[in-house]
Amino acid sequence: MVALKVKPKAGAEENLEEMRIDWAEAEKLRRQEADWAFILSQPPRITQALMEYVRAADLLRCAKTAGLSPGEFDRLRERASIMSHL
Amino acid sequence: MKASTNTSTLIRFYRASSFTEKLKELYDEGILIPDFCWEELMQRRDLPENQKMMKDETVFLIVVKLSLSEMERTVDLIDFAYGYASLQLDMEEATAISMGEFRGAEDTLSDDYVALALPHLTELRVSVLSSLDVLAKMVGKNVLKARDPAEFKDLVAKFEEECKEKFSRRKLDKLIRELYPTSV
Repeated sequence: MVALKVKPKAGAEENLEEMRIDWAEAEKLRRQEADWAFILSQPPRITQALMEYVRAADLLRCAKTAGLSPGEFDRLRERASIMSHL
Repeated sequence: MKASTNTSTLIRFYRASSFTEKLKELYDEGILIPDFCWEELMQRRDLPENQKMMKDETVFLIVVKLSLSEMERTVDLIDFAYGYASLQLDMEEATAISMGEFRGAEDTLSDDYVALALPHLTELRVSVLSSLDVLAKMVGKNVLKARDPAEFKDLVAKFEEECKEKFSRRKLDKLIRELYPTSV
């Protein structure tokens, strides 16, 4: 394994554990609130991107998956009632 | 004060039109945007927020091309996020951070969870702020007025309504404790 040039800081492990709990809670809320009927009624590529957004709330990446600009995808996210909770 | 961004936070602040001018006031030296992020964003120039951003290009929003040193740092950050924490830091976010570090920005603005996690995992020469953090910073710097936790919550609710977003309540409570240590 190649050594990483960037090194972890003190407490990084504990911070990561705490953040993973927050991310899981946020994802749970996104899953609960999302308009699944809308999401599943979209063309497959859009459905995939919206589901990816429910999982990780990464706007730029999901816009690429959907083949849309970030602004267009942001409106789609809004129509699908997916709030980031981050 | 200067910032850099991957554009995710910018979209929110330009959709939330009551807050756009406040962003300019806070970052009076401008906001740096990697050129490829700007191109991705401007695939749809007709969107209202993009129209407003185009008017601000060069005067407030500064589109920049990455240098070789910034590119190397970008790759190192991506490798670290994956190698240390199995997190996928995207090129857009990593670039905004490295560009901010090399060009003297105080903050990198991003609403991406991996970018926001990075300063908790390693030392960076910039702070990474979400939209919610930026609102708190605006209050801390008196760019926005919120005299108590209730007023700050109202302000956040207004921002959420305008950009059609909801933030973490736990994070909001944490920011309130930091902003108003004696009232909570």
